[in-house]
Amino acid sequence: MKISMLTNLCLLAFLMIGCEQQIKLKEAKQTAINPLSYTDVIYMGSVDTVLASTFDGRISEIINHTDGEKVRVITRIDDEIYSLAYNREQQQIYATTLHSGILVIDAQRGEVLSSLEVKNKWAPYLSYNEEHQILMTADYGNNIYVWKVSEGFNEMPVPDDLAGMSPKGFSGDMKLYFDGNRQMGIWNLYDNNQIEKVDAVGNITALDQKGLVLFLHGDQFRLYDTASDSIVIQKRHPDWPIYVASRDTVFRAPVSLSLTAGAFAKNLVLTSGIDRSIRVWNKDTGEMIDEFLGHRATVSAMDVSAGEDQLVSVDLKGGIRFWNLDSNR
Amino acid sequence: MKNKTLTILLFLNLIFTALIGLYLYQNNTLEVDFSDDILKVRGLVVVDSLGVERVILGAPLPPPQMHGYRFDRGENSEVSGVMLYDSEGQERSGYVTDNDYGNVFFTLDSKTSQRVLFVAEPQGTATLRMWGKNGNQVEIGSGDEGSWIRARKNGEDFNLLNK
Repeated sequence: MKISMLTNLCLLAFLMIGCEQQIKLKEAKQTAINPLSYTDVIYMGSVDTVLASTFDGRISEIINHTDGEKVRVITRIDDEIYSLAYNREQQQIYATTLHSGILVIDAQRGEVLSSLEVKNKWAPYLSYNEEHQILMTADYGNNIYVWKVSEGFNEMPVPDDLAGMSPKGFSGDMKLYFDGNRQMGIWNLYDNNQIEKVDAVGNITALDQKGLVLFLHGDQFRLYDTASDSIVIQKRHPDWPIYVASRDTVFRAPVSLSLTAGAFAKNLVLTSGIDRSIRVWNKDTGEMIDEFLGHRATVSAMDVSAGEDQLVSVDLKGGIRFWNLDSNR
Repeated sequence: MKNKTLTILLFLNLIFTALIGLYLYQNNTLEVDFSDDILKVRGLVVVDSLGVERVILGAPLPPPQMHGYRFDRGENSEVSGVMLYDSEGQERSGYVTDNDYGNVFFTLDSKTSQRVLFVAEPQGTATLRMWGKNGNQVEIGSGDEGSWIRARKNGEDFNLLNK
């Protein structure tokens, strides 16, 4: 009986000790990111359906609808995502990340299929050519990667002449465009891998079929004509439209802020910046013919639909806008 | 005898259960007070109502982000200290020491680049630099070999301490 009592007392003592409250702090990271920020946006369908990525590792399918945007989260990875590309044929998403290299993701199931390794740190941009299925990027260690997607992501050797540059675009005549070192490099895959370099300061953001290259440099955009080897248009946003919410009005400050994204659409050049606006320019004359206001934060990325009749833009506070591009401008 | 033992056990059980209940009730809302303690942490993050990190105190601090991507500060360029971020999450100011050379900095940044740098180097040289647009800048400094006030205005350089 005494043993039974002692056992009971011991059990009660253990119970009392076990009831001691443990304080556990919630795990947190210091990331220096805004989890709401959209980092990139690209068209998934011909129009109205896009893929958008966020700093906190979300990739969503967003559908433009009259009632507002419909959002479906395709995947959420434990990493940051900076840039996206979409392979329509294989329904694969390619995403640059901070720690995981370039992820290959099944667009329907959201499953990460594989990862393309980068040697040094991370790669901020990604460029993909659908016609030739070539995927390109460069990491912060100045390593350039050009993968042939159709050949199992076989990595092509990159000429040494392009060291220190970043691949930014692909023209239909099998020329890869690079920027960096205050130059533009053109790698001609058809013509014995010849490299052509010209002095050009800025970041390449778009190429068109006529050989025009859109550079962004600080608060300026420049149109470089490869046929004449010259800058044909050089412009800034003429002002900073500041939205005053309390009065629901726009005040225009006469200053030009830095540009963040650019695109071509038919006869138009589209530029956006930290002034939260998108300006529409005539590609031939350089005249500003329209502006799209509505973003409430820096426009971080934009893309033009395949038919070049719609523009999508995203911002650093989680805003997304679809704009119709009137072909009769 | 058996009944008596069971009664005692039941009585003890009731007392202990009551004590446990009382203990849990008293500790239901736990107030943690560190006012008399020293906190030792690797980082502190202040977030706004939307979850955007606005102030980070850390060692080291994370690399900055720029309009949708994160960029590298460069080799041996890690810094530790306090960093301020705007409502979009962009790095705008820092009061830091670097983890290699031994500089201490105070910086103020625009949304695209550094605009004010106040730095003291480990050997004693102190410099204040301010940048405007189009290459305009002002620099005030003092070191072992003297002091200087220099400016560049619209491409023209001025040395304001000629004597």
